[in-house]
Amino acid sequence: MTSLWNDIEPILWRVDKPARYIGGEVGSLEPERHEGDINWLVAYPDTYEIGLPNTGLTILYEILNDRDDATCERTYAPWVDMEKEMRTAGIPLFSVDSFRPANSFDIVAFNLAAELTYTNVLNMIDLAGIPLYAADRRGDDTFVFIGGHCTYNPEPMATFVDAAVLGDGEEVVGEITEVMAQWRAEGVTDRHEMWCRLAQIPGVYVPGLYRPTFDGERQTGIEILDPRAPAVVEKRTVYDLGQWPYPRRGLVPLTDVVHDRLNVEVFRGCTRGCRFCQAGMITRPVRERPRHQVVDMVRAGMERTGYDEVALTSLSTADYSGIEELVTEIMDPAAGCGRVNVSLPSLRVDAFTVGTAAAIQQGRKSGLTFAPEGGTWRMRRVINKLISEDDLYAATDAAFAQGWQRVKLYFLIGLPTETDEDVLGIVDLGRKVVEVGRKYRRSITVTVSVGGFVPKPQTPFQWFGQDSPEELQRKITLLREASRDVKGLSVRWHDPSASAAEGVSSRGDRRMGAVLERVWRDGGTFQEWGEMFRLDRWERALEAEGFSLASVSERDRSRDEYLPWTHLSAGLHDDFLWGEWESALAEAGTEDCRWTPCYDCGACTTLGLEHHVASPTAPAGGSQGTGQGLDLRTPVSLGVKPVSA
Amino acid sequence: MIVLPPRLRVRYTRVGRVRFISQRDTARIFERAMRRLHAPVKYSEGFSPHPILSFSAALPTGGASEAEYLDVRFDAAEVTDERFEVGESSDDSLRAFGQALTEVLPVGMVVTGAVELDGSELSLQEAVACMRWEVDVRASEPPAIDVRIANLMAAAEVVVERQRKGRPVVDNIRENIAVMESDATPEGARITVDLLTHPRGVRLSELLTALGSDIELLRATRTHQWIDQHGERHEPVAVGTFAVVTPPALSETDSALTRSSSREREQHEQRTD
Repeated sequence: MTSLWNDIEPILWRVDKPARYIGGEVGSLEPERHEGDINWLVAYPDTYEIGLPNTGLTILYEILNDRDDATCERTYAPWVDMEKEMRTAGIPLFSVDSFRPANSFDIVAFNLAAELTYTNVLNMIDLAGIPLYAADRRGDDTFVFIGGHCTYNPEPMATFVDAAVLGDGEEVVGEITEVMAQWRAEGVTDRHEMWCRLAQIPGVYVPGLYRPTFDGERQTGIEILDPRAPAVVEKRTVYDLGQWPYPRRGLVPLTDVVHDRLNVEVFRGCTRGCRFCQAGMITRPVRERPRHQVVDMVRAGMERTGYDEVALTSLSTADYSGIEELVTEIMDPAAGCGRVNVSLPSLRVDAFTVGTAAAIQQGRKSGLTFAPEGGTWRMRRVINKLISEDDLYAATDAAFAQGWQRVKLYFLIGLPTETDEDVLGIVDLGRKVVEVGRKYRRSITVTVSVGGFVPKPQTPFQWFGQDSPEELQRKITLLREASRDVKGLSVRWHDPSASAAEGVSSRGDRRMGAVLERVWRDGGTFQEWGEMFRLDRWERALEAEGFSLASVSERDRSRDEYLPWTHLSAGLHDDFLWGEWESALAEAGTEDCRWTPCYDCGACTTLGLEHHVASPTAPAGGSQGTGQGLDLRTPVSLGVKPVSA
Repeated sequence: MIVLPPRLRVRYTRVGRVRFISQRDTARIFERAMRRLHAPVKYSEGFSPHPILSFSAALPTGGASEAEYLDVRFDAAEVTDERFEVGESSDDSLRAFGQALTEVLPVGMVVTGAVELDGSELSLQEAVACMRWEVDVRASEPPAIDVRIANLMAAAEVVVERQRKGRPVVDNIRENIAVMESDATPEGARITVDLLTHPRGVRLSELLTALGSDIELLRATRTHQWIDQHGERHEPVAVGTFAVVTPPALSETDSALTRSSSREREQHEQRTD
């Protein structure tokens, strides 16, 4: 199929930010197709500027294009104005590399990183001219794959996808390519046969080979429709990141995107054990990239891209073993990384980490963000985010002392067992942090940013019914009223109704597919974008399918309920998750198992692995270090710190 | 070895799909290209130093150009790569630099010329007095484009509505339009227009609106930008010109005179190119 560029070009004058649709980034390719190649189109179901920096897709793009038997191109969700122009002109979804139509690819693989992007996937499948339901696709039709964190409960998307891939993609994309190439060579066109062969690749879940059973609002089990489909699909894990120094040709966009800097992933996994955090549960064990390789990737990346900033990315970068030595090495002119700003996107709440941040932050010190998540020590014990007040004040004190003037604190509301006292504790912490800052400057500001908690599959909170939007709103009002008279403190919050819709996709079963389809057909694309989101669309769609927020997102599950993702495994034992739920209710903490004995969550034992760390030394500093300060039991008052007039 | 002068004016193109980026994107691309090249660009002073690059009037997003300009300063203190030196440059060095810069720019952005500056020149924004656009348009209703152009050129006033400091104002842009002609094309018409930039420039979109609300813009290319000098217009850098300022041959007291005469000589060379 040939390039659609000549059709696309004339409409680009009329759309906002046309550079979203032209590709041409440093590092991009226009792969030539050869007979027998399996052609992949990797897709991010949100705008170009959100999707382009996605490291996962960048890695797959590179790995696949390095193969002799595959090509890979990219696409992103066209914004509403562009979609309208495309539909009017009869232009299908296209790749931004060679402008080929999406349905000329063998596979379209979507990265699902956020539940509210699901309706965009439906829209993109439709815009590609691919049959919406996997069951309606025939031999030659493009296969629709999904991957990414959301696939640990892919059931709401099950009717629309041929396969979901669990875990790291580096190895499995090659295996999928080979399986497809083989059946193409054999002339297989029977879709069921293709599905069965895909289902035998570890980590690949083919929903069409399973039929869930229901009783009322509950799922009661899952039926396997072909003996070749496994009873449980286990995630894929790349154990040694040292063998995967990707991306080597990361993309440098021609236009504005988020996280527009060199991003080097320093480790995967996290064993802090925060009970609300899906990423920390599903990506175990910890696998650190060797330090010399990180430095090499920074050096080569800066050289190739012309960026002046590198972010060392992970779920909690300050926990990288030897982070201080790593940063010192990168900043050392002898390392050859040039004039480089290093940023640590996820800061731990302790003075040590702030000291490191200060040492590397050159020039402007605008704002620093910490995430205590819970407003009281009790709440933080429930969620196992064991940050003492002392540590928070020491960290923010260090930040203000180093010249930062704005501090942002992230919190969740709607957590299990939460009381109004816990909610108001958020304002209390915020106020005390303002007092800490005013020792240094009158003009400092503290922003408290509050999100509504959405329980996620494969976490200890997967059974918990989330707060209704009304309840979240009530708590937000409490916060606003309590903070009204606190000078220097401002409260921001995430739309509670968006959290409700997120919950529908997060823990819903396969029947939520029909709900998603209704929301999409009603015009509900780009649901991550406040201006495009309306809860009534979701409520109408739920009602039309016989559900409600109360029956889906707000409903507590009991331990004996068959959860829609029971047949999908991130390696975690059900006993571990339930045990953590009971510890949460008992307000008991759990240690970080990197430096303390294994409590057998299942990730290492199931996968036959262990943590892969770059240095045997535990991180320094307060309750955030080894053992997480579980002996701390009493809140520390601000009185111990001198507050100047 | 490439020896770069302290001040350089670069001419480049922005054609093909890269024309859909914005002026801000263009500036960022040059910053990154200079870093990838290890070019010893001078940095500004202050809290967050940035490379000193100054551009000619912004090119609208979607507009192509054969004649974009950029002034850049180099600093011996920024040399980190043995390929570069800052000092007495040569035409060959400038040509080599132009080629090297093109290699690290996106497809469609090509360096087509570079001349050394001596620091006495006006900035590009101040100096460029006139620019030429070639614009392909289609009108969905009568009258024909050439009739509309004739009417517009015959008018004493062509008013456009603008926002200035948050308030609506009405400006007459007739004085900005030096020449405007059109040729019929299979799609509609190709308009060639010379727009004066002082005291206040005119946006292409404003000009097209003045021609009628049914005008559809198909393609637009800025083909020239000119500097006004002694009543004559000159291109700041002619295509294919890579030239250094000839060092003063006379005594120091005559250096100002020499500089201006060398500039004139240089411009003469550009004209004959």
